[in-house]
Amino acid sequence: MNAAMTQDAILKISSLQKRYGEVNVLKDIDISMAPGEFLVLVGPSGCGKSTLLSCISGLTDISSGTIHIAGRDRTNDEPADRDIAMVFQSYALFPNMSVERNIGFGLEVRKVNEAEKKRKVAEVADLLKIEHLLHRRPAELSGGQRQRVAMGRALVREPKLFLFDEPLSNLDAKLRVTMRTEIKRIHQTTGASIVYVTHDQIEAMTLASRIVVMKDGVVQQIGTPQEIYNKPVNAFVADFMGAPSMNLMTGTATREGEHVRLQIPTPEGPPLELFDYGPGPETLAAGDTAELTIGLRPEAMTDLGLRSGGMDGRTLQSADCLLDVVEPAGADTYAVVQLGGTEAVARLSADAPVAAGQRVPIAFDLSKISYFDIASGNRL
Amino acid sequence: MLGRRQKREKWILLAPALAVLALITLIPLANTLWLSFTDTRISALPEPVHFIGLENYVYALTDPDFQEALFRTLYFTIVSVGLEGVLGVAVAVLLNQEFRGRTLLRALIILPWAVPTIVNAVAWRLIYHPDYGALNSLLFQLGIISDYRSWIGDPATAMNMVILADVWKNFPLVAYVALAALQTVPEDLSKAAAIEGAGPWKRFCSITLPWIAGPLMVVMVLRTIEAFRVFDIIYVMTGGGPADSTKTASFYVYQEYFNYLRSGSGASYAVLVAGISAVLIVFYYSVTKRQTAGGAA
Ligand SMILES: Nc1ncnc2c1ncn2[C@@H]1O[C@H](COP(=O)(O)OP(=O)(O)O)[C@@H](O)[C@H]1O
Ligand SMILES: [Mg+2]
Repeated sequence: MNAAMTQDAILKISSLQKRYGEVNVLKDIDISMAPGEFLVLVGPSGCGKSTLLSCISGLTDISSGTIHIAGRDRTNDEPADRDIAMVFQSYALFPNMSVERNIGFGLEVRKVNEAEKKRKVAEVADLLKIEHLLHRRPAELSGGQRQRVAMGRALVREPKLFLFDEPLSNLDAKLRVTMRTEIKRIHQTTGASIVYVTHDQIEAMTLASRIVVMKDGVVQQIGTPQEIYNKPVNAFVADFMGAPSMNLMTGTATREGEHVRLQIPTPEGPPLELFDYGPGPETLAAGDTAELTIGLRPEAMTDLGLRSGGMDGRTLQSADCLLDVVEPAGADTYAVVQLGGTEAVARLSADAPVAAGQRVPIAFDLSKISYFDIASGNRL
Repeated sequence: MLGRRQKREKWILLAPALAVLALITLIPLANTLWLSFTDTRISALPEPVHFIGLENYVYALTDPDFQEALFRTLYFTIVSVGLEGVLGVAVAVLLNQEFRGRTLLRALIILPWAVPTIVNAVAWRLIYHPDYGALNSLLFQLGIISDYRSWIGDPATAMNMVILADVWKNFPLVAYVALAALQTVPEDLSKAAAIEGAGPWKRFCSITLPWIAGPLMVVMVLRTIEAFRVFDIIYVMTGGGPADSTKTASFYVYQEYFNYLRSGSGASYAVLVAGISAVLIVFYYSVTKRQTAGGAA
C-alpha cells in the first residue's frame, strides 16, 4: 500500500481527534487512502464510524488534526467545497422531488446547464438501471430502488471521494447481497475512491480493498481483508472479523526445540496437545512456558481426518474431541467442542457422520494459528 | 368487504356523532341559507315571512359600502395572515436552533396567543393611545416621529394598526405548528442537501419548506377562516371606524342582525362571507397540494 503513503493519497487523515464535551469519541485517527481504493470502516455499533465519516464530510467539526482530500487541506472547508458525495443509511432522498431532480440536485445547485444535467442524469440512470424510475417520487420506490437513486445522486457529480454510511442496513438480507454486488460492480467500472462504513464484517470482507477495524474510537488495524482475517493484531479483531468468529482458547505454549507444544485444557480429561512447527509466539524463548490465548478459525478445525486420514503431523494434526453440540448449516456442519474455556466451533463437511456426544478425530490446521497475550489481547 | 350486518353496525355506531354534527352545523347552516332567501325580521311579535328569492343577495352585492367592506376584509385577511405566516415560520426556525434558554423562549412565545382577544385589543388600544401610548413614546424618543399621532384615529393608518395587533396575537399559533413540523424534518435531508452544495436559503426552500407545507397549510387555512370573519378585535379597538376605515364584512352581518334586526338580509351577508372564505381555502389547497404532492412520506 505504498501509494497511499505518498503525496497523491486521495484521503489523508492525520492525528484526528473528536470530542463531545468530555467524551473522546475519536482518538488519534491516522488513515491514508490511495485513489481508487475501497476503504471499509468496520466496528461494533457506537465505535465512532459514522462520526469519522461525518468528520471527513465536514458535517461535523473535528477537535484537532487534519484532513486532506486529493492533496488539499480540507480540514476547515464546508462540506459542499470538499468535492465529496455521501450516501446515507436513510437514503435521505428529497421526498418532494422526482427521482430525476433528486439525482440532478447537486448539478442544479451548481447551476450546470439543463442539457448537460439531463445527459449526466441519464448516464448514471443507465449505469444504475433506473431509467424507468426517473419521473417517480421517492415514496413510490422500493428500498432497493431508493438505494440506487441515492447512489445515483452521489455518482452524478463525479466527486473525488465517495462516503457511504451503512447504505445497506435498511434492506432485507437477500437484497443486501444483491446491492453489495452492485456496489462492487460500480466500484470496478468507475474506479471511484470509496470510504464505506458498516458494522457487518461480511460486507467489509467482501467489498473492501482495505479494511479499517475500529473499537471505542480507536483504529485497531488497517489492512487488506486477507491480512485482517489471517493476521489479526489483537483478540478483538480476531473475534470481530469472520463468522463464526475465531476460536480463542486459553492454553499453554512451551518452546521445545523445533516446535512449540500447545496444551489446551478440556473439561472431560487430559488436555488437547498440538505441536506448532511454525515460528510460534514471537516472545516465547526456548524452554519457556507461557499461558496465552490460542486462536484458530473454525475452518482450521475440520473433519478431514475422518475422510482421508492424510495427516502430515505437522501443519495438519489430528486429535480426538468430544462433540458437545452439532449444528447442520446447509453447506457445512458446525460442531461445538469445549476447549480452553470456550465453546470452540469446528467446521465440518455437511455430510460428516457425526452426532452430539461422540468423540471424533478433528483435524487441526496449524498453518494459520494466532497467539494473543491474555492480559492485553495483543498478537504475540 | 363489509358484510350487511357490519354495514348496519357501522351506521349505528356513527349515528350519534352524525346526529350531533347535524344538530350543531347542518341545521343552523340550512336555517341560515333559508333565512337568506326571506325577509325575516327579529321582532317580539310574529310577523309574516315571505320568500323573496335572491333579493337579499342583490341588495348586498349592489351595495357599494358592502363591496368596499369586502375588499377591506380581503386586505385584512391577506396582509395579517401573510405576515403571521412569514413571522411564524421565521420564529419557528429560530426556536428550532439549539441555544441556551430555548425551552423558556418556546414557552414564552405562546403568551400573546393565550391572551383573550378582548384583552389583547384593549392592550393595543392603550399602546396606540394618542396622548400616552407606548408606540408614540417609543417612536418619538427614537426620533422617528416629531409629533404624537392618533394611530387608530386616523383612517390612513387605523387598518394597518389593527392588523399589527392581530399579527402579534396570532403568529404564535403559526410558529407552534411550524415548529412541531420542523422537528420532524429528518436531519439527514439537510445534511444531504448541504453536501450536494445547497446553502441555507436553498436548503430551506427546497427541503424544509416543502416538508412542513402540509401542517403549515392547515394552520394557514384555519387563520384565513378566522381572519375573514374578523370582528371582535376590530369591534373593541376601533368599532369599525374611523370613517368606516376598519369596517369589515362581519360588521354588516352584525349591523343587519342587531342594529336593523333584519335577520333575512343578515343571513345573506353571512353566507357571502362564508362563501368567499371557502374560495380562499380552495385556492390555498390547490397551491400547497402542488408543492407537497408525495411529500412528507
Ligand atoms: N452529537 C453527539 N453528541 C454526543 N455524543 C455523540 C454525538 N454523536 C455521536 N456521539 C457518540 O459518539 C459515539 C460514536 O457514535 P457513532 O459515530 O454514531 O458510532 P457508529 O456509527 O460507529 O455506530 C457514540 O458513543 C455516540 O454516543
Ligand atoms: Mg453509525
